[in-house]
Amino acid sequence: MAEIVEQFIIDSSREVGSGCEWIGSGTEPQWNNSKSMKAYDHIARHHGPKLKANRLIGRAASTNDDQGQWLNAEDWIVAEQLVPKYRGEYIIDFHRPIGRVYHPDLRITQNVTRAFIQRDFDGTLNSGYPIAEGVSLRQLNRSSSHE
Amino acid sequence: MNSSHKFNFQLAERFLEDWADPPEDPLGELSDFEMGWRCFCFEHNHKVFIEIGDAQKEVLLDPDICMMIESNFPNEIAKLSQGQKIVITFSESWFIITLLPTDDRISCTLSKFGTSCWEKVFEFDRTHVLNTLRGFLQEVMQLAVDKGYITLEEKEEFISPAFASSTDAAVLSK
Repeated sequence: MAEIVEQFIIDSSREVGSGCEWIGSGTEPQWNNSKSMKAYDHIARHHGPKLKANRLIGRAASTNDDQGQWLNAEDWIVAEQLVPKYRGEYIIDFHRPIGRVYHPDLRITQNVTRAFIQRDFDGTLNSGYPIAEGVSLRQLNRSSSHE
Repeated sequence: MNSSHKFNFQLAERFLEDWADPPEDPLGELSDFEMGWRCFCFEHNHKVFIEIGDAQKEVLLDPDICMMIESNFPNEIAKLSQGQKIVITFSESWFIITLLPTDDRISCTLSKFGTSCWEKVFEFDRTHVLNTLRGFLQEVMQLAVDKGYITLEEKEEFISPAFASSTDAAVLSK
């Protein structure tokens, strides 16, 4: 059973996402369709399973940041249903392999089980990618508590 | 907390590497404006330099700025001008900017997350931050107009909340 292991909620005043009132522009996205560009565009284009490895390798090397790639687009839908219905950042552990991570030093970690998910103000997932062990949102919560 | 004048978003040179697939809309969900904006960011990708005090971050129009502006950015600027805290997330680049207004100043926290985490806190003049964000929004959206991806009317309607904040002065006078 997948679980939320870390969260950084930006706005808890309004529930957004599938099953909630649509507050975005135009018509509500098709939440249950992984091809919904309104709900999942940047995830598909930058971290989707069909993306060629050389693009992710090049991006990891140039940005010096890990780049995750999903194995199965249907897991975006699972993530959308699982993360709290609030704008914010989340880390989910699916407890099963959901992707791979390309590292800046050209290593590849296969079969990672965790993903980072960002839910936007209208409930859509504007970012989401598999992550390696050790990625944390702790700093965000610590920074927020300072204010 | 460091008091500084350096709070800047600067559109820089073209970025020609091809790291993502082009935008598509197979379900026909996006408006002409939404699709035009995404295509502009992809086909005219640029580097963007963000300078906050002594910290510098390099991001891209696609995906970073594209996502920032899609995330209700004009309304976020309006909220900031009205004295509310806003959070700008650059999740593809693993950092977050939190802007918290207090009187005529803005506290700015730059937080890095991921495998290495840190934060830096700065303080800026409130008007300078608002002018910087509004100016950058105006510049990139006008470039999308000039390149023929969105219309001038679409741009003006979209950015209007960021400039409709006649509350700036009222808040400052409190």
